[in-house]
Amino acid sequence: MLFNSTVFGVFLALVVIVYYRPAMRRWQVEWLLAASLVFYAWEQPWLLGLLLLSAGITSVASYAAVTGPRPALAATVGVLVNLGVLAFFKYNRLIAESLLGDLARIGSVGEALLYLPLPAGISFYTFHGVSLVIDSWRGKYPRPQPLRLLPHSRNTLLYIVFFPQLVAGPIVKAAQFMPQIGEKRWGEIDWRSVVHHCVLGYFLKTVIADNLAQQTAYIACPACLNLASIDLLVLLLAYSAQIFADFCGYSMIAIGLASLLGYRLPINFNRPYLADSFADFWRRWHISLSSFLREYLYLPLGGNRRGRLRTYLNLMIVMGLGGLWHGAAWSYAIWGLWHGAALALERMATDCGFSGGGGRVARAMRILAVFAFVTLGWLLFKLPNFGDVLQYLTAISTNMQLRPSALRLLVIAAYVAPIVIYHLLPSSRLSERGRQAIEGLLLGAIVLNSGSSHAFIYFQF
Amino acid sequence: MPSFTSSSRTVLVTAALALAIYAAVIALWRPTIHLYPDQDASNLARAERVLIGEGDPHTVILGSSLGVRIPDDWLPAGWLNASLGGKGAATGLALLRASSMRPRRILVETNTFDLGPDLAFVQDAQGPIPLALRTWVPGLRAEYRPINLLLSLAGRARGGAHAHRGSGSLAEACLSLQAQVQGDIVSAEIVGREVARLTARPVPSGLVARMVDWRAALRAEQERGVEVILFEWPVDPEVMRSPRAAAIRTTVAETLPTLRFLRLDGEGLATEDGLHLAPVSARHAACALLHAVGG
Repeated sequence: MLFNSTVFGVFLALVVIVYYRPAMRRWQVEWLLAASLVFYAWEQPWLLGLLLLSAGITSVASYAAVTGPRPALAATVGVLVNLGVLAFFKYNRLIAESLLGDLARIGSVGEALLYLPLPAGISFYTFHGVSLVIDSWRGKYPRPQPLRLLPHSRNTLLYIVFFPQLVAGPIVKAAQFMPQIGEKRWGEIDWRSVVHHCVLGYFLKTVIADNLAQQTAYIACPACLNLASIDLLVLLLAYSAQIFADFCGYSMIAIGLASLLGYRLPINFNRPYLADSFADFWRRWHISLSSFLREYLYLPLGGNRRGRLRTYLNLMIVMGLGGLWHGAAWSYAIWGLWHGAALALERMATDCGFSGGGGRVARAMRILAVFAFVTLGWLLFKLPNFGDVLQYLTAISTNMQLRPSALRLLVIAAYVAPIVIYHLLPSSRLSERGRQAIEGLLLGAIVLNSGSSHAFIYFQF
Repeated sequence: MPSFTSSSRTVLVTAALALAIYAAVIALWRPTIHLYPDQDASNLARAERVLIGEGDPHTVILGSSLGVRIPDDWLPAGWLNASLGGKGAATGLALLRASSMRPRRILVETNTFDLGPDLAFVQDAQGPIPLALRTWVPGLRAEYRPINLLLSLAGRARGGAHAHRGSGSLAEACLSLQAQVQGDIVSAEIVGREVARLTARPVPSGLVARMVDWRAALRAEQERGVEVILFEWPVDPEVMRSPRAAAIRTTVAETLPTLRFLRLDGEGLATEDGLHLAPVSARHAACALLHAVGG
């Protein structure tokens, strides 16, 4: 079920009306659980079993990590099982292709396993599982005493399947979510958050991302050979804006919907294209993933505490794995390493005392440089076939003589402009009334100028 | 916590005001939209015109992106161009059946006769804003999306390939076009590459079965009193001679022998990619179609 579909609107209205009935107060968590499972099973009911199995294992492992005789072992098993599920369903084909080359050699049973569909949201819910097991073992959130298996399993299930963030995050750490589970009242809804996040989120998704998707469909090769260099560059810029609008839009809708149900989710984006360094970019882009990788991977690897070389290596490892987390193709790993190398080089420059200058012009140049680097990297996202990426880059350098499409430039400029304004004019600078008036205009734009509905880009991960 | 009313009153009032003002401006002005940001937007606007059927057109062109190249102002009054990019005439026919419009004549493009109807698109075109509401409030139509308005205004100011044909009659415009037959600038490299790709396309499988569907569908239209004319848009001569194009042409002639089948002369016309006519050539083709059909 997509947030931008009519059926979701009906579903949400029904869920909220029943959820806040006084008679339902004792059963709110169970009702949310049922709603989340229906949400997940709507289009692919056969995948529900895997989700429940993953949640069940996480529940038992996290319970054992708190109450069992060997907490470290329970936590290790819980983490490995979650990562094993992710590896099996997401990376089976990549691993088999890389190791065997010819998939025909595998045989019919193996082949059937390789063609299993990628369960929606598996990258997100397995990370939630990992977070819960580790946070339980570390004792990072207050738990009821004594901890009982049944209520713990119920809460675990809600943490993993909570529908606003089930399919594409934000990745909420267990320590942030679990303490929030409890009774919610209609009068306690933070309506400002609901309206702000939902209007802005739907605007970014339906007006900006869905319309830009029609343009960026031309980022495909060999069709790219027929486009002018300027068109190819502007399309890359458009994709940079689209992927931001799509994912930030999704995250905002998720935050708004969670607020409507009485839960707070962490922000996932903070004007990322204003980052003036690569480290800054990752503090602003997909913040929940960066924070997850930092806490559960970078720091356990030693972070920056084991010398310079090890720090650079850790950055490369974390970003390489972070890239692979996005998709089961080597181009995603290269995308991750592309960022890892940038972070490592930046760190090296800082370690050598190079600051890059502190003036406004120097900062603007750094922002532009980071943006250009990040935008170029998105090509690996859009074209998972590495040969296509090279062909696209070649076309940029060879198609100078072709005339660019003025229509395309105008359309892209019209849809990128709101993203630029969003970055340069933070809503905190506006009065409450001014902010609401702008949200009203955005709501009008959603009615008048939404593009055809597309699935969220991050749903594929 | 702020209440729902205090959090959303200004939002809702501003949105309602913005929508009301926009709807009023469009209703009073009714600008001509001739540029769309993308194929999808163009398709939705064209589908909407069929579904609403405003002006009761007597002649409807059903076809693909080849026909999208024909600007609306190069067709006579009472003609509706329901060509849809990325789809074939079958989708246009499905739209026509879903609407209450009853034209006297349909011109069916055969170049993409192998494509079946895109019923999901026909469904999508009927929402999410109800058609009845869009009929009465033109500002809510897909055709009048703010981006379409912005582009059409910019296109008009810029002129060139997007210029309006002027205030004279269509016949005069067609005559004056004769002097501009070499007016299209195209990239020989792109055309060459695309022609090589297009001529290598295989003959579509299931062509005969598709033709049987067509025969039934067109016979139903004829039984309702609709005149059916088949026609083939000119494309690059090599593509025209390709096995795929030849197979479609032969199958059409064999399966639908009683229908009038127009093959427009492509002599001297230029395509941008072997398939889609360049702006001046597209206007030539529109004039040729009018001439062949007889107004």
